[in-house]
Amino acid sequence: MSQDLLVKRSILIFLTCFAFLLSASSLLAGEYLDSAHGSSSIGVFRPIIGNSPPSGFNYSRGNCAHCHEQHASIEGSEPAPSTGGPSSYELFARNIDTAQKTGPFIEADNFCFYCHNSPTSAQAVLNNDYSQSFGCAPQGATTIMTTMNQRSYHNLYDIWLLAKDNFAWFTADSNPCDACHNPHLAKRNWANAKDPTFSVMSKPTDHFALWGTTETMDSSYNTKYEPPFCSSSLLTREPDASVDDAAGRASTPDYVAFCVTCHTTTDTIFSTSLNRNLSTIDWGNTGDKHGLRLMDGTVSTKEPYDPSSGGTDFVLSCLDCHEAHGSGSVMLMRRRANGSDLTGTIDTFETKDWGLICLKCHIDDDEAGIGNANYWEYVHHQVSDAPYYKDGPCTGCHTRGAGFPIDCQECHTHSGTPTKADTQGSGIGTYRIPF
Amino acid sequence: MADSGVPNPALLVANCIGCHTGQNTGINKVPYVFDTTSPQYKETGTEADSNTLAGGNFYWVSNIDDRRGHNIYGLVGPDQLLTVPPGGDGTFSGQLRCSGTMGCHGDRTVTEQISAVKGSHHYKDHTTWQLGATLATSYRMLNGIQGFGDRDYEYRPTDLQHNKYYGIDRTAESETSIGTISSLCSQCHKYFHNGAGSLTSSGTFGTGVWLRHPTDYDMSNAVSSDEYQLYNNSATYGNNIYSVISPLATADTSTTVNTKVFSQANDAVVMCLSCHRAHGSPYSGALRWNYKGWPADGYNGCAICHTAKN
Repeated sequence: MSQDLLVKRSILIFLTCFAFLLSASSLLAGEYLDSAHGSSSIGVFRPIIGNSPPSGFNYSRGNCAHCHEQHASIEGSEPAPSTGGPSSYELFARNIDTAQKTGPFIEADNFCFYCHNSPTSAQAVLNNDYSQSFGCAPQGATTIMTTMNQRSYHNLYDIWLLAKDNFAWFTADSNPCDACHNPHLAKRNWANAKDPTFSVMSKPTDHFALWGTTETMDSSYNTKYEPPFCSSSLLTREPDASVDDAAGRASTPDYVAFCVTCHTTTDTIFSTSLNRNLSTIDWGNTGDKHGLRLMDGTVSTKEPYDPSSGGTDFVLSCLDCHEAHGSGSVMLMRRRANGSDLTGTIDTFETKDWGLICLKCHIDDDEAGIGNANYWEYVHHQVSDAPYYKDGPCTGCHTRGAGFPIDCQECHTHSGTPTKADTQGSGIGTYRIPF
Repeated sequence: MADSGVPNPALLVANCIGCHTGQNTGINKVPYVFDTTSPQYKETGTEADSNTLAGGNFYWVSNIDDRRGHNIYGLVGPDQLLTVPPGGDGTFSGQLRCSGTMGCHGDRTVTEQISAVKGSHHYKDHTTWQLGATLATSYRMLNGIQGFGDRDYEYRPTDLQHNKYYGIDRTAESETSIGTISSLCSQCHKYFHNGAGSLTSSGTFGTGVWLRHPTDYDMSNAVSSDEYQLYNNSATYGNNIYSVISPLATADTSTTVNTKVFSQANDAVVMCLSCHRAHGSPYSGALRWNYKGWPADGYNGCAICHTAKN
């Protein structure tokens, strides 16, 4: 083959490949059309916009007009729900009422609630909580607004305040839901719970891309992440009864990296709901044991976190224990964890009821065969390398009123400083890091 | 055209409608804006087998419903849906005409339609930028409006052959931007273009967020995401080729046709005609494409600018 012919052939191959790439990219479906809102089959639908005349304007499902009124009116007047004037981002109603700093919320407090609510004046969208959609829990709250009107919720005002001051794209008129979700990209994750490419999240630091499509607990932590059990048979894993641990971790977005975008190791976040600053979160190897910090003794765990799993020092996903939007328990704790439902709600911050979720993964006295459920003498005093002596002295910790067992949060909190004299170098017996 | 029995001014054999009714072929020198049979609009009115012009056509408002164009007296009865122009401040009421005090073209201080366009047909110089100083030097006889018209009135337009619309980059919603094509629309649809509390949450373009879709605003200012900088992105042709489907206005007053946006300052100015046809279209709101039918069907012309919303 002559040099000239070789060059010509190389050019031809290059152009063929280039043309293929161009045609392939031009065939890519659009991001909005792929989103939950933009779908022509399941997307946004405000009845007065989408219904056939005379009750509506006959716009296609998924059309921009279901949320945006480019002229703050259609055919000369403002369709329902009418708010009497134009709204930010050309939305059909006010995006956020920042005067509403805590729940309970009503539809007019947040634009998203015009649909993520039921009954509603727009489109009633049903959304189950994380415990159900991904954790095999029975039916719970069915909408986002209902979920956020429970005992604890991701405070929308606080999110708005934080996002406004920290993310350039987020304005004073932005919706706090957008801090975690891009409504033009977010997909219907709950309907495809085992497929992380159907992500519903966008990091606030990368709002114009979906998070978790390739950034999974598997890609970030591999076998250090052990997906919790899902079904009560303990034969399947989260999310959504994945067939095994490998499938579960590959299907779980890296929620840790997502959450710590705001819940950093250093930033102070004031909670209007709690009227105090939130704990900082350190999931690194000098932070929480539920993160990457190594164990410093026996932790008496149940499957799949016990030694039979073949691993030690696991890292948890934030959503293994917490809901994203709201919960009937304090601190957005889930109502089901590691394959079984909590037997009650955690109603107050200072309580031994935290144990209701701890016992889903840790061995309580009932599991150890020495006592009752949600009692913790075994792990604190009986296990072979127990952190405290079996025979006292008791009153160093079990002071009058502290009782048996002691409220969990006395010692076990995110990045917390225990208030009991019980940890490193205390003379009572333990050199353990308590969380 | 039926003889009304009433003589036309200036010894004309017909009124505006009489002369501007017909089917465009690309050869006709008189622009036809009303066709008695259904024009070929195709999806966007820009296809190589379409036969409408830049303003669209009054056929659909005349034959289908009031939503599809301006209800011009003589072509169609008064609008059954609207009694005043949407967005108007109440100063304009009554049925729209082609020209004059109740019209878009001609001298809007003159009541009678033909008298209102007096001197504009014969003194038109199509080779120069229309400065709007007189009616004859106004773009498309829209008094005071600037621009540079395509000689074919955008019969089967391309990025190389199209109208050059005048627009400016405003900084405040109170600016009326006299001379721009959008300012003409605002004479009846005021609050869609200007007015306190009409466009932005702050009153100032560049801060706050939009309350209504902006016009007379240059997209190069929209930097919250890169989607506008990818205007008319095409895997085949690249970005920023001027789109005749969703065209933009420019502040450039030369007679050089703008073939690529973001090539000079203020050449990506959003205007009313980026989305609408002035006369009419087959679609609701006289839109340039079937927005209402999208995404199930229709056409997403919005994505020419909103490139991430496809």
